[in-house]
Amino acid sequence: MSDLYPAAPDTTAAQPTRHQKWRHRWTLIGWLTVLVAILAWCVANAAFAVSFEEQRAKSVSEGTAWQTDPVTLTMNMMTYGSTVTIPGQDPILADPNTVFVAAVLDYSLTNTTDDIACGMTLVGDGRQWRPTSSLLIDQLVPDIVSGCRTIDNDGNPITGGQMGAVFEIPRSAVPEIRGVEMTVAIVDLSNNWSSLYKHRTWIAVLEGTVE
Amino acid sequence: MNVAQATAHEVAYLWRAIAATLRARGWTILLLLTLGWVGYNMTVFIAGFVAPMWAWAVIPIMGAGCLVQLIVTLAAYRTVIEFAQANDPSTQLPHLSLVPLLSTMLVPFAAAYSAYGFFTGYARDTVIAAGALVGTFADAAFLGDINPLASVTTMVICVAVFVLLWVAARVIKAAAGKTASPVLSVISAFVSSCNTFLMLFSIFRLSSYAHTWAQTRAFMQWRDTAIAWLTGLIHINVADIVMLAWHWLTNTAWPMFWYALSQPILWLAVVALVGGMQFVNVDTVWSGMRTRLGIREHEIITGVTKQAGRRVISSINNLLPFFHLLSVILRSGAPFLAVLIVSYAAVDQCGAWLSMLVKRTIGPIPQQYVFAVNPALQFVGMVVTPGVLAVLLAAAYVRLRRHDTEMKLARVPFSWRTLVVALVGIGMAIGVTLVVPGSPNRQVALTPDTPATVMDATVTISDVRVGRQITGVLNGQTVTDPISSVGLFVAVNVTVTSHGASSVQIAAQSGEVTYPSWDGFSAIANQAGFTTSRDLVFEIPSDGISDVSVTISPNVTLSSTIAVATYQLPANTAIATVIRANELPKSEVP
Repeated sequence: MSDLYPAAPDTTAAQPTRHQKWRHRWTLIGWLTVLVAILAWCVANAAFAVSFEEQRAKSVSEGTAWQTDPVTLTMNMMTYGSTVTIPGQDPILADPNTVFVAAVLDYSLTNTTDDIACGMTLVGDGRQWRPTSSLLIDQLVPDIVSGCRTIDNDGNPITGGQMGAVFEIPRSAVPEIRGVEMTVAIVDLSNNWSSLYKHRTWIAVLEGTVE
Repeated sequence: MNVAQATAHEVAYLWRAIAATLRARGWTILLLLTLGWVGYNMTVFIAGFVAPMWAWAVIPIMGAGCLVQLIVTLAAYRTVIEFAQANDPSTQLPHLSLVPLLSTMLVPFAAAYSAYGFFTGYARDTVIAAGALVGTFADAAFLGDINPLASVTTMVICVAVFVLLWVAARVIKAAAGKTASPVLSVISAFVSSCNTFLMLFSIFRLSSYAHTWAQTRAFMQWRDTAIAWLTGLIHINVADIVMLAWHWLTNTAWPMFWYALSQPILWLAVVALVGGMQFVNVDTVWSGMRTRLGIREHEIITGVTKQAGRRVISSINNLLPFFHLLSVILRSGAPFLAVLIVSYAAVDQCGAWLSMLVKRTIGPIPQQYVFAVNPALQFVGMVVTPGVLAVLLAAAYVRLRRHDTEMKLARVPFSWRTLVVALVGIGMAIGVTLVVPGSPNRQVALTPDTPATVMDATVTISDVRVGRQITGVLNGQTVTDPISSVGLFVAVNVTVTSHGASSVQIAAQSGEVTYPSWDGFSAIANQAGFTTSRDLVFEIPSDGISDVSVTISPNVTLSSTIAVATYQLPANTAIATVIRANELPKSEVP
């Protein structure tokens, strides 16, 4: 079979030629390029990918204001209980083994021309809770709104106030609550989807103690 | 040498050549294709990042990515061809420098890549990157901005840019040819690449438009009317015959031909172009045709026919190398072709199996890590398999050239044995292609009332019921009068528990058909630390009850590998007259 395909020439015995040296140098540069590119890709992914946004979210200590372009937010209070009372109605009991947690923040708008979306989730130990859909904060306290509202019920511009949300979580999870994660975005649906994503969202965990 | 010996000879030659080339140049090929893989993922990352903001910037970025792929793949092909040539006593071929090769190879290379889904995959990865790097709906923003059908303005912009790039590519190419400037050649290749992407986006949009139009009621009505008219005319159920023929053609014949038979031949043609194969010109073809048709020079009517015939051949001058290559390959003899297509299919399938094993080893991927892990999952498909295929094609090309010295073929004469070898080769290639690797998903077998982990959720299936009628809380309403099924109702209770928030999707499977939940809500979402349960009802045909399974999978749409829990209904499951179900979800903390 050797006539079909002769063996590759034995290059180990001879001294490396100039061409071989050139090849070795460029091979080394090539592998270094691969290594650097992989590292750059991983770093860029960790720095920019939406998936790791929560890991990148900065922590804002309790009582400290968190300033973004459109709004400034400060944790006001976090409280929990097994019962909530809506004025004029019977008390609402939490399901067995669960409690209601209410989080209230002060917000101050930089300008009232943009529509601002403020999303809130309750942050525990490696897990989060969305606000309960069956109970809105403004049902409990009419002066506290559910998002960073820019107009009041009469349509008049407002520059700030208090916003919050109610969560229903397992009672055993109360000790692990460390604050709320806030996501702030400028919403502009007037043109098209692309204008919405010209602004990346701001994200931070506003620390607080549940009392 | 008979046909069997010739075939064995080809097998031995090809695989010895592959082994020797991989031993000698394996690391070089790996490096070159890894550079291509890195370039691809870097451009996908950048394109995904800027896509929602500057959609048009994606075209040059993808063009640059394509150029990187082109350069490294051509370099890889050239490396293995040079080695294979150096180790074979066949006629030595002219050495082509890489830069002129780039400008001449771009069009066939891009066409071959396009035909086998490279651009589609590239665009898909960019859309995923846009979502992963910018946010949900960023993909819609990107694709919407470069849609030529979105408005008259976008159509005009698309056409104008296309014409501009087309002219620019040709001007730069001409200048590169005159000045022999490598920089201009690369720029020409880059501009052509951008134009190819723009054209492909337009074609993709236009074909989508045509497909959507074909689904309209008006078109379907015309089609049904035409089939009904034909049926009435020839008293044969034309609709069934057309459907069967179409199904066989699209699901069996075409994929087999396209993937098993055409790929090795087309890629070998591309490799032959890289290898600097010499081609016939217009005069040679025209002279050959005249001789073959028995037309002597003096019989041609005063130059008119001569000019017309020559002009016809000249009009396809650009395609002549390709047709020439195809004719050389297809006439290279059954043993060579059979070994080529079977070997190609075997390497390709080994790559697919290896890719599946890598995915299975990595295991189910949570949604947030899909984009991060994707490059690793693509490594086998973009580096390992193409590397071995490049070596295979280079060895085949050198072998082909030895047969084709002075454009003549040392073919095995046609006989029934040749036909058998050809048919066996085609059969084996198709057979190998049919051995499709299984799903990389992690399979979990469910038994009633026993919790099982499906990625980040623990699921339990219980209270399995099968009946002909149903009552209870269905689709948000309390139903007291039993509702009859045209087949059978299958109801199960599914409980989901998880430390963090989770969501699972439940479906029933009978044979090859998947049935969503009867009320249309097939998912159960569970808040962190809670347990959520509900009944799910599926309506399946009566004759499918002997083979029904219920699958529970996490809602991670982008993940290529997930965990799937499956409960197989026992064949002897009792069928009740009326069953009761409650489709309302119930959440609690245990």
